[in-house]
Amino acid sequence: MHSETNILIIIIAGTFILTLLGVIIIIFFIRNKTNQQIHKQELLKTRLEIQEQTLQNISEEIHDNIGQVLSLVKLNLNTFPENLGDEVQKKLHDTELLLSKAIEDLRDLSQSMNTDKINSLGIEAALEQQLKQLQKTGKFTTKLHVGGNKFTLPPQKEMVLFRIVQESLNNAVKHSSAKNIEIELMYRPGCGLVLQITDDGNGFNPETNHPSKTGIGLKNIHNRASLIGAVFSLHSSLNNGTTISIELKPNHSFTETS
Amino acid sequence: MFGIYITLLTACFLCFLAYKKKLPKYLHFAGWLVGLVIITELFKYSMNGKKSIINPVEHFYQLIEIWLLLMCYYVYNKENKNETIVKAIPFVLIAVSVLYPFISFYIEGINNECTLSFLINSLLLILLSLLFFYNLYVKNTEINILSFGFFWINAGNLVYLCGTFFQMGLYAYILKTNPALAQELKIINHVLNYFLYATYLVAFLCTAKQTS
Repeated sequence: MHSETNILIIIIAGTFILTLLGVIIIIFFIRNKTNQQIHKQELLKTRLEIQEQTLQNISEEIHDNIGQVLSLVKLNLNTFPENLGDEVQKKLHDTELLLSKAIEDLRDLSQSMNTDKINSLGIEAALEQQLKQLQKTGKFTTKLHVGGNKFTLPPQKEMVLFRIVQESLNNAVKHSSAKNIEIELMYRPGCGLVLQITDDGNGFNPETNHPSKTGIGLKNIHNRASLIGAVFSLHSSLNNGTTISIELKPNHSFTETS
Repeated sequence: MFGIYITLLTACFLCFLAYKKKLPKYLHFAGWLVGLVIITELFKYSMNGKKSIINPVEHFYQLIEIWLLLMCYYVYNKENKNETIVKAIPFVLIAVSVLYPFISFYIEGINNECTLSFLINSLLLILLSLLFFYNLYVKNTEINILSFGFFWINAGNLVYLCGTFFQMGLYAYILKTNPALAQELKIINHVLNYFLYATYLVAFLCTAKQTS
């Protein structure tokens, strides 16, 4: 009888201690991982805020200083006397044209970097402007499709989505040799928002270029998407172009607009 | 009690079958294990306590269980490039395949309670679960842990095996000295079984949801 009681105590105590140990390990693990994720998210947010601030500073610098200086140079060119001879006149005219193009390109660049400008334009107009800039190079045909019942996104989320598009377009221009680039912005009330950037370029094998493995550009897109709680997915194969999808699930920060 | 248990197992297995295409390969082994548990439990129930039939089935079940779970860990660790575990598992598989029949036939006896193979299973699976948690802890992964199916499988295995280790380990001994007490202590196993298969169900559901 005495030994039976001992066994019972061993079983109950052993079961209790081991179960508790298992539960403690799991709770410790969940808490640790959650803290790690929060910490990582905060780090990412800070990094993006710094990046955004830097872009804003560069944008202002381009607009207020370099842009102004170039405009002044253009004005000075116009002050040259007209009796300088045909050859010099032609060179001056060509220089003026090049300068005008440089000023225009710098203005576009400054606008695409300027956070306030993008926020005031709204995501659709900002995307349209971005595609127009690409179209102007004469190397690409671009299209923007907007569908569904529109709702307003918080400015920070719009900004992150816009930067994702910029990064994707940058990738397409740099690496894909694409001719056609399309952006689709689909509003799905109740389901969220889907943003797709598609090109008909070379494509690549996502297995060897997965965002978690290589490619700073794709990693940036992945990080930015996770910062706003969006799901990033990539579909690509060799010679079949690339589609980048960002799916933003609905939450309290969406507001329906008429 | 048995009805609820079978319902939970059936729900778990149906969930596995429904979402099978969406589940990673390593979870398929866990799904088939649930199917095997249903068959074994129903068979044991229908035998109405006939130990001469139930005990050999139990010995056989332990071997298939460890095979399925080791394969599950093998495929998972292979996908995640944990080379040491991947290299070790085939040796463990061969070892248990040789050792378990030997234990069943020559040490414990096929008609007696199955204790040693249960204890070896428990130790192996606790070790593999802890290694899983350790690897996830040291690796800088970006997954949401609560919607990661294999995390739930490991959490269930760890708690179940830790919780039943003493009760199942001493079951054969208590059964000889006090059969009534042995039956009463089985409540620990029953309660933890509910927890185990609930975590399997959560694992299948959240993995399927994540991949859809």
